[in-house]
Amino acid sequence: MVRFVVRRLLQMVIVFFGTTLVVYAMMFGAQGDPIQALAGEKPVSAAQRAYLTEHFHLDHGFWYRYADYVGGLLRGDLGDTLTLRPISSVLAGAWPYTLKLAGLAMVVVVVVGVGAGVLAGVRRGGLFDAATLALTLVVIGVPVVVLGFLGQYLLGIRLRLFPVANEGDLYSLILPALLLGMLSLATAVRLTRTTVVENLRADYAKTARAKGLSRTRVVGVHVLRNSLIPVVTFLGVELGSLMAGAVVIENIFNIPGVGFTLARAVRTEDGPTVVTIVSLLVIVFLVVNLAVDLLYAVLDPRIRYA
Amino acid sequence: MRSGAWRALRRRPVFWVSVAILVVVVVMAVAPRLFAGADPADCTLDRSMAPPSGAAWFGYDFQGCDVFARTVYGTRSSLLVGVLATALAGLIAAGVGMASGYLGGWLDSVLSRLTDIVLGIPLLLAAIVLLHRATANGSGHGIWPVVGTLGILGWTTAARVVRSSVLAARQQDYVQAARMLGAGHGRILVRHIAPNAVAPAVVVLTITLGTFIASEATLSFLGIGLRAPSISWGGDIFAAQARLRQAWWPLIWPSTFLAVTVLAFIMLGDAIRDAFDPRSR
Repeated sequence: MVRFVVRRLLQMVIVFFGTTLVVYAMMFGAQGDPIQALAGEKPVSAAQRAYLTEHFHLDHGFWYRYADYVGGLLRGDLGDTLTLRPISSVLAGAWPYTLKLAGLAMVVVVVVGVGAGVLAGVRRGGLFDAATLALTLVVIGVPVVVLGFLGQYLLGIRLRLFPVANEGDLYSLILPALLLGMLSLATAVRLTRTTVVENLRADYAKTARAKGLSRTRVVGVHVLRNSLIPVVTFLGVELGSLMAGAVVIENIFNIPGVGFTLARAVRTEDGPTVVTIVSLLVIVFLVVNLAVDLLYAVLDPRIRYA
Repeated sequence: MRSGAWRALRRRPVFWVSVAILVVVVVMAVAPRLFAGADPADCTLDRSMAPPSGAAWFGYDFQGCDVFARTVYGTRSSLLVGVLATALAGLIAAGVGMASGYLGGWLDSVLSRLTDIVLGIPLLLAAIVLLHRATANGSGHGIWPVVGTLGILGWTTAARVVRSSVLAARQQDYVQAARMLGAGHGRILVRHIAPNAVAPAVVVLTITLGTFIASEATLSFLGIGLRAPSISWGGDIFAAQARLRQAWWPLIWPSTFLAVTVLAFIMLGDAIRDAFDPRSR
């Protein structure tokens, strides 16, 4: 187990450096004049130019700047936006919204997704099964942009069940979270259904039934526990698309979270902020996936990391 | 095997439905004039936000353009971006997958780590950064930056699929036999190994095509994909959303076309996978 963790951590370090390098190179590799980009059409005075060049180390080579950037990142120093606000303070206000939004979405995915998946799997071939399969296919196919507006229009504007934009409270986050979770939800339902169907046919499930255990206990304890293993992995991977979806949903519902900040930074051509936010999101993604890999061993005693 | 898959496929209504939708979409992209009589560039502000009527069934948008005509003419760029980006992603995936699967060794390790890295970056986030660069460079807002970005970022899953089918095929007896008969690497790879990877790769790429079209719309929606004067579904959705409270029709039609097209590609991929996967038959 220790050896596995060490190897996995080393792998993560490589992926971390690779990813930050790729993102950094994409952003700054072939950049013409970032200072002029900041100023737009206006002329930049020599003093301003000298200050910004010094501040962002623009007189040094690419590798020096990358090393400086990663060093700062590792020390917890996120750097400044192009308008010289510390990025950490920009993010401090944005994190809670995204965290709440993503957390709510995850709850929706786990509770509804696993619940519906188990039901569909147990009554395989039934009406509920067919209906969920058709419904999930539609949801998977409909892009977040469309889904977001459709939900906003129908539930927010037409039926007035939910506020159409962020009002700061948890209630106004429910509709965005529902829509954000929808995509992962569909996949979660399908995955749970497939594994439940497979596990119901397994020998241990038959044994449990033969021992005289009730069907609820067999499904709820024996089958469910084994069926959750692939679902957990999926949720880790799915976090990536959840974060990308958050960028869209936060813009549709005007939620001042990380995705909203990212989209604004893109629009204002604020390179440092874009790179830092994307890097942070990637780090979150990597850490969660590491945690998922380790959780594997806890969930499935058959898996032994030697 | 292949004819068996075809027979299974032929019996699925889902397959025929998605094929029918895609045929319509392709014809619409090639000859939009067949579907829309109105000119999408014929806009007059005095009919701004005019609701659906006999003259224009889908109504007019804020600029006074015919919503239906714009939606039909937007098919071309959406489909073109999807197809070209998928072709690029498929090429990269085939190269990377076959090289790492067939040659193995250190090259495999390097390429697999590279795949991990690209797979580790969520597609949309990386696309935002890359396209942001392309637009800041002033390389314009044509389809090429979007195609390049999606292609460069979206090949990973297909590459993994190709690699694993190549790995499985490499050890087969018939490949050993071909080698003993004196076939060179190129011939073995092209004639004996690559055909095994085609079916699984096609499945993945069909679904990828759907997601690429959705991604293009999302990027255009965020303001870094296609921009005017190109007509695209994502751009029209973005333009319509600000005035959603006044008029729903400029938003609904591009959204519906987008959703149906993406759905058709995903259903098609699903149906082909089911046909090729004997476990689900």
